[in-house]
Amino acid sequence: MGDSNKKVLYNVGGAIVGAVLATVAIFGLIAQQGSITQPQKFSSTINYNQ
Amino acid sequence: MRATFGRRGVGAVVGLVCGLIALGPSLAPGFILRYDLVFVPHLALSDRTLGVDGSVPRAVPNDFVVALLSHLAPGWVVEKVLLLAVFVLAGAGVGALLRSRLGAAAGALVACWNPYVAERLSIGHWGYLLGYACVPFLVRAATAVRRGDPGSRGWLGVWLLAGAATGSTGAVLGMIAALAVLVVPATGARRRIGDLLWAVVVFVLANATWWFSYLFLAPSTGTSRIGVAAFRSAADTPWGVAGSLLSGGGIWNQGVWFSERGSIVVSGLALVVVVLAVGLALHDRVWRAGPDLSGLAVAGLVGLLLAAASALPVGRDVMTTLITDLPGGGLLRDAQKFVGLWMLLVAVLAGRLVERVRSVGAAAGVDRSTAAAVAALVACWPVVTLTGFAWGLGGSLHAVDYPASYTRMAARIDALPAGAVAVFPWSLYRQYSFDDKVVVLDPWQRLLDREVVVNDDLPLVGGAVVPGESPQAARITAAVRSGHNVPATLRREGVRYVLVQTDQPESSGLPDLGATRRIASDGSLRLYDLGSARPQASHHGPWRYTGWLLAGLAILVVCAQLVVEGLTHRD
Repeated sequence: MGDSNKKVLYNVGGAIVGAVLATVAIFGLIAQQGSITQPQKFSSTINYNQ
Repeated sequence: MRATFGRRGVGAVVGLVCGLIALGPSLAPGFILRYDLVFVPHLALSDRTLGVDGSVPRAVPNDFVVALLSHLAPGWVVEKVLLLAVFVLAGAGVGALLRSRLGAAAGALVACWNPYVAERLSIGHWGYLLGYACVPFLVRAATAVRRGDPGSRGWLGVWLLAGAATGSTGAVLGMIAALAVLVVPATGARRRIGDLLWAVVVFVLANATWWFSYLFLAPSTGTSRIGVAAFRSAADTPWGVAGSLLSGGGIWNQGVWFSERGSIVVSGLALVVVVLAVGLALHDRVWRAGPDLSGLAVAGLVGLLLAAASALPVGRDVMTTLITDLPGGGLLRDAQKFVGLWMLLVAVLAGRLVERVRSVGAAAGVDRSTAAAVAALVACWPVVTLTGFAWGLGGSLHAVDYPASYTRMAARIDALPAGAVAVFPWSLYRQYSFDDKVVVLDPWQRLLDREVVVNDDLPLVGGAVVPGESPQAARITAAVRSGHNVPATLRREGVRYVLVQTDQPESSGLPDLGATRRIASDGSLRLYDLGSARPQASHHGPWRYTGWLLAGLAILVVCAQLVVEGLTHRD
């Protein structure tokens, strides 16, 4: 593989990695926002793992 | 040395930035009160903070450290400084274990921004995290000992003392790493039994504050099997317990899980990067790089194994037996805490992965800035896969003040004649409206400078209750449940005052105090005087401070070693 091809491959790889990371970050933010609920409920018994 | 400082400095800066972003709005003046994270305006130096009051020494000696620091600054300042120190130390320590500034930044980011740190911060285990942050320094110090650097034994002792100050878990994490570095085979690095003995002696002496209290002062009830099952590692991702632990999660408490890790894509990416970093390390045979990396690799694998063992069919029975039957086996109960060692290894390996991405770019003829940009992009994976850690755990961390009625009542109780205080409703955790109704450990044990009796049972979702260790609390629990003669039982147990928090759910038990005299009412707090209580036998006399004497001896021994090494080096 020639040097210019390696360079193109690296740049394309970098762009793909960037796109994947950006997509996953958006995915994660949506998942996180979707899970935001009311504060912990004031239950009759307070559990350590609620 | 200058290059080391550069990498360490870069790591520290990355750590500080991570800390500022992660803690976010909770850095405002006020206390962060969440699960086991309980700080108070002024923690008193008492038998409880010293761990010699006969209770299980869970926050020893880290509560003592807080009590000392509380003399220098308000409690909320101490809390924020300690939390930020976790990030700065972890970043600096891991940064120094890498070869370049880029690698240091990438490694520091992983060390500071991962599910282990996020989940343990969320549950309030700040002592564990400080211990975790000391581990890379112990790795460096033990490596210097292996190289025979001047003054290295003394500095290993200093970091063992620092680890001991963070509490039992932090100390054990550090000791596993230090021992691993000292014993792993490494070409060109000496391995001497004297170095090993030095580390063991300092560790044993420095940590006497908790192991002495645990073995000789605390109740000798065994660890419950219910607790073993409740606190074993759990899957916080769709990748099972093993996949969750590999990517740094897997804590037992669902209340502190991060929702994005429930996504197969997000947690999957984290897992892929971990596998890639480990794969590259195997390809490069990093264990040949020196005792620091080989030792950290052994420690990381031991940590992963311990964390996974109780959750996997093969190790479950073994771990249960160890935890319930071995003196001190309770340290292994919440075994996911050991995955911190694995995450520090992952941080270093991920830093090397990022360095490799840059070097591949350079080899391909890409200009330096582009290669560095791609490498920096790859380095962002921890943030991308754990966005919920940002801005106070996604808005979950708040800075709040105790109501004025709390500080007034605390001052009033501390001025009363001697007698223990029992806090009701009879349960260990609270939900306060001033704290957004977040589950938090009852703060009155820390707010008051006297013996405070609480119910140490741990109720869990689903109705299971992990029994506490205090026989005194168990007898009061029995009386509260039966509803008969609660005041008489309290007096028999040495309780003179009853503090009732009227803003809490009552199902866990309120005593029928009959005609007991109410001596104060302030806000949601009611204080009753039961009259003179039966004096309780003192907790074992002056010899209860033996652990502290041994810890003091550890400090003297380490100081002496530093002086001797300093003089020898000067000659």
